[in-house]
Amino acid sequence: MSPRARRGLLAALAVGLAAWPWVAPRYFVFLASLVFVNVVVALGLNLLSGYTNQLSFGHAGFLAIGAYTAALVAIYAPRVPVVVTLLAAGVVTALVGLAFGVPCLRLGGLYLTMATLAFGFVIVEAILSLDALTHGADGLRVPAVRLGAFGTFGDTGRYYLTAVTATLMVAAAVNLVRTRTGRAFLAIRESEIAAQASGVPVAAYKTIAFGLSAFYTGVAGGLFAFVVGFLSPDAFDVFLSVDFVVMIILGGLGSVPGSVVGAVIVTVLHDSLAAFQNYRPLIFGVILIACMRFMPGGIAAATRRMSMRLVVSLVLALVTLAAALPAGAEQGVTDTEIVIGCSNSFSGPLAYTGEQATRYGVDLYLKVVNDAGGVNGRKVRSVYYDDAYKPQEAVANTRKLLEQDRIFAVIAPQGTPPVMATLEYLDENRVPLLFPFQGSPVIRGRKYVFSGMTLYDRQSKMMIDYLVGHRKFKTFGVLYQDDDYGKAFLTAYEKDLARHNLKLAAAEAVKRGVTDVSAQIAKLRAAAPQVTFLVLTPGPGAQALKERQKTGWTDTVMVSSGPLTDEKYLGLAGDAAEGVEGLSLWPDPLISDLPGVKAYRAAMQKYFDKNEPNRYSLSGYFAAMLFVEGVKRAGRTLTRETLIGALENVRNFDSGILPPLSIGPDHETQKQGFWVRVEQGRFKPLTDWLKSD
Amino acid sequence: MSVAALIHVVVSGLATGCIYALMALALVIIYNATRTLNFAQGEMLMVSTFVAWAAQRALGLPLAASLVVAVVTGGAMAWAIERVVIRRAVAATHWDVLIITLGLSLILRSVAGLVWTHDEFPFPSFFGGRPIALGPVRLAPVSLGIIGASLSLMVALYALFSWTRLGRAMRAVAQNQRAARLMGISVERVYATSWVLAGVVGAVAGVLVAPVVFLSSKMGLVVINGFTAAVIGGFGSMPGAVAGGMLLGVIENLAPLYLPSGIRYSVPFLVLIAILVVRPAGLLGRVEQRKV
Repeated sequence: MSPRARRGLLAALAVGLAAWPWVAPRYFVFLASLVFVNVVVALGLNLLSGYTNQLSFGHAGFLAIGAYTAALVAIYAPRVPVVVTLLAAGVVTALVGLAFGVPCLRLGGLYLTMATLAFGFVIVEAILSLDALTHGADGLRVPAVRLGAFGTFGDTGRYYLTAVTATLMVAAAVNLVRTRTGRAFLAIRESEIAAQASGVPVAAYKTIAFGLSAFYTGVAGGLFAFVVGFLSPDAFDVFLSVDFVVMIILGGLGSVPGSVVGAVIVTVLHDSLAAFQNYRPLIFGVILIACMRFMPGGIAAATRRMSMRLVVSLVLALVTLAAALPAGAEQGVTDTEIVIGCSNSFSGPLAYTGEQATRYGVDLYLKVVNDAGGVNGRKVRSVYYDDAYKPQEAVANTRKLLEQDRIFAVIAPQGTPPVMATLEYLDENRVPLLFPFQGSPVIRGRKYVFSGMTLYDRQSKMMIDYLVGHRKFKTFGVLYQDDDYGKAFLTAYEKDLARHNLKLAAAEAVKRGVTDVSAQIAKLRAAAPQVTFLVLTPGPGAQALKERQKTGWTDTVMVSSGPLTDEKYLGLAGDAAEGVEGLSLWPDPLISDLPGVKAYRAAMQKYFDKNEPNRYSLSGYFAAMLFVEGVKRAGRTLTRETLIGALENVRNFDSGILPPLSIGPDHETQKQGFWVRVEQGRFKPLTDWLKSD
Repeated sequence: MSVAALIHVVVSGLATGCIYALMALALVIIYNATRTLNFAQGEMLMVSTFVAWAAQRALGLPLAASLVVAVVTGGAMAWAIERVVIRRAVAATHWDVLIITLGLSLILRSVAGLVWTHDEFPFPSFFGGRPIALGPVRLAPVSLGIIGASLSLMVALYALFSWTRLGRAMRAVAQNQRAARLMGISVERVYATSWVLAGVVGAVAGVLVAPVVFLSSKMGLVVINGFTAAVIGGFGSMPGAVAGGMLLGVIENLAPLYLPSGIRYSVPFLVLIAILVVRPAGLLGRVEQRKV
């Protein structure tokens, strides 16, 4: 390419990037900001992997350090301009990276890869345990960006911030390759031994590469924090590190344009596959293998010196495409249709729950309603995107739902961190958030939020009042999951026991997805509580029951929390579940003869005959039922405000599933549960509905 | 905490450790032959266990027969993967295969989710859940069974590597590929055998561990503990893999007993990093001298 053509292309690129927020729909401005964040990460990873042959599976950890540093600076020193904050994020990450990297760099190849993998896990654990600063698993809200006197930033401001930063970082990387350090990197890439023999101090340069890589990723982390607006440890798992690896493998190891192209393609692909949950890892897996087999060196090597032109063409094509993209109808309501949806887990730790609540729950009821002619003449359609329990993806998905799909309301999203991450955004846009599948009281008292599941503090109150008041138990222990769900229950139990002048005898934490709970059970047993609460998910919950059976611990009553009391957990525990008690939030979906549950089973039989009825799908079915009730009451002039008004006036709504339900200004839809005990492998009710008011 | 309870916790940890050790062995077997890591080892375990489970449900097979199904599936899948995707890439850098297996692991997990959903399922066990009392000490048959079965498999592997022609060939390839080839050993055959062997070991581990951790598309994540175990023991050393696995299992179980909850889950990784820093070759490994 002639220098003149090159200059022309660069100018066109600059114009295209500057014009983007003015031509592209809002969502694509946000998506572009994410692309820039990933470009910086890919550059950082490529500096390490591409030039010094050190593959890292821990870059999500570096990103986390940068993100949390930036967020904490923004919280505790709100007057600091964003440039300083980003530098601080980069420097802190580089320092941590060096402290970790210097001893590890002695290790070659595979060993360093292992060490980086471990580093990623340690960082996530560190975030969890430093909860005084990071708020642990609850997640941390990041304040708006400040640029000195310019005040705070909106979407466009954040776009320019990421765009300018990424451009500077790309320019720095391009120029770095032309410096003495860059030449040393290239020499090391070609042959470490030859470089050493030619007098290149390999160890020193590897350390520099490691520090630079961490600095880049830290700065990207700072940008990430501001773009996403909410951080939680779930965001930075090993699969995020894998995404970064895919970027540089696809783009091309050791190539700056390759990093950019890889980051752009992977981010855009990731986004456009959000609705195809299971196929996303499949496609990324195929990309990795295809690159290795047919395109070693990635796109950069395949296109040789064309790559700069390729970057520019790609960006220009995207700008044109975005300008041509349609903006959807207003507010998701037309004369014939209502569109609702949510971001949920269709992969990751809670994939099963997410899929059941939405595709087999909400959609099940919508099918029934639509086949009967819809509500007030309108059919209801649903859209779902997968967030894999990561807050950043929940934010992206929710924005996409609202700005592209133009949904009317969010229904039945799952999990506290993903829901919390979208709360402010939905509030600002006055979008109803209906019946999230989570019970943390943090969502209470918001105008646009209606709770779904009986909130955890109410569940705790019913459990403690029943066990202390009716059953006269005195000593209690808790085995809880080490996250927002477990901790919310723990706090509530402590508070409710204090009302009865009692205290917890022991509390033991279980990490999510752990495989052995023998130590925790041994410690709880040493405290000899009469009642042991289980605040877990089905897998570990069943393990706790099996562990009790293994050790022959008979003199305690194990009691499951509302979310745990389900058939899945019984099925997994087998005969170890006999005699277990619990708070049940739902009637038995398989055998209850309540009219609403029978109708639910009939619908399941009709539309999804291969899917077993279960509580997750029942809860989604119920959520859709309540939504449709609100829409009916709002009448033909359906707006978000009329829906909220209509829901607030629901009185004694008889679903045939739960007792007659009234929603007041507190927006809590469910407040009840009943006590059950496991007999011959099924939950037998011990009480009528308990009240928590 | 009573001594009896402590013994139970340690034995339980040893049982988990045996599974880690089997994973580590599978990784080391492939590493020794091809000098690369198999990131898909966990997903291979998961898929073979799922196939065994599906066969059992569809055909009503007894548990022993489904173990055979798992082993055959594990072996066949590993053979196919080696033959179709890995072999053509072995000549390149040690990364290529690593990245390919990473891709495979993503693909296998997706496919498992599409076929069997991401739900968790109970898996029948060879061993009962009721404890055996030895004085005040209570031991679970599940733990003892896992330990017994894993140890027998390890002994069988030891015999294979020490006393058979094939085992000698594999060790020769591990030591020096070129020399082994010059001695008339078919290196390609050793590659294939190593993969099949790793697939089989993984399948046995899967059937042993599935009743404890339940069958799900997530169970392949145990491979990370397998890596850690292999590195602690010294990557490439088979006795090291066993020791590393057992040690990791016990440490994981003891940490919640004695450490505050803030750091207990980092312990395995901190141990890993510490070992890498202080003794990069692991507990029983030898420092590798590689030439240009």
